[in-house]
Amino acid sequence: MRAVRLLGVAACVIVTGCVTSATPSGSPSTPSVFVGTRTEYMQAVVQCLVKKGVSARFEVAEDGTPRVAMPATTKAQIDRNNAAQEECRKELPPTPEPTTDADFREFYAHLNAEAACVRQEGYETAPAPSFQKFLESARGTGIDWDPFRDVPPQLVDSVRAKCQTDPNKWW
Amino acid sequence: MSRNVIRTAVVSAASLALVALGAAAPARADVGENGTKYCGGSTPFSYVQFKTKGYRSWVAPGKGTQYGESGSTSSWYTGSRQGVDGGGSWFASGATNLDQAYTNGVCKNYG
Repeated sequence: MRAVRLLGVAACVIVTGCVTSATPSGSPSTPSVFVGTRTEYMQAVVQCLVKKGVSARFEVAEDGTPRVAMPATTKAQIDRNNAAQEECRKELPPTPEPTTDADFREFYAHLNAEAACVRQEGYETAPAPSFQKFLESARGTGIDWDPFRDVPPQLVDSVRAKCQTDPNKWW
Repeated sequence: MSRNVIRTAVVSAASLALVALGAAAPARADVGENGTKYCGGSTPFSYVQFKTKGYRSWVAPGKGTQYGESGSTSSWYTGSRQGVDGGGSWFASGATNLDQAYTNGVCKNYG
């Protein structure tokens, strides 16, 4: 999860997604990533799914998260949806991920702000790890500090809608 | 707490993960890796919960729409989606990143 780099977004073509590379072309070792907002990524997913015959549509969830919606009334249909989503995810450039300590420090601050909001709403949230531990988990098994984790499941969507900051910025 | 594994689902070649757990009252998570799992069967549930890294996808109990969202592969996401009680056959699924993502899914009732 990282702040989306917005430079050059305007020039991107949503249909195919935009690809950028930190090094000049011809450097196969440098992975390309999707350049654009999270909304644009999900719009690209929708277009890919439609091309594969899935009746997908783009929508924004109550908490502001961009997402794809598909009919799913049978297990077979869910299987087809899942397979198509996975194919599209492979066909599109990978989504951007934090890489530098500065990226992770920005994300750490973001999660701390969300945790403060959750507490302000009257719910418990796990204490923040130290940044050093946060960084170690980020570079290891994954950051496992979710400020919304201890909110009662019946309420987590509404609390997330109040406290999640800019879901189009953070992946 | 009673728990029954209702249906273990298809793991596709694309490495989707599927969580298949059913229980009358709170069920525990069936941990899966790199695949898709389903909750289903005759026992009605109200919620589906999942913990994922990477792209995620789900269908809430008794609902006819599946949703997909992008997600970071470096951070765990805890999701909870409410459906409707009394649904006959319904599913929870998580489609995750191939390389380093995992999904845990569980179906629960509260109250």
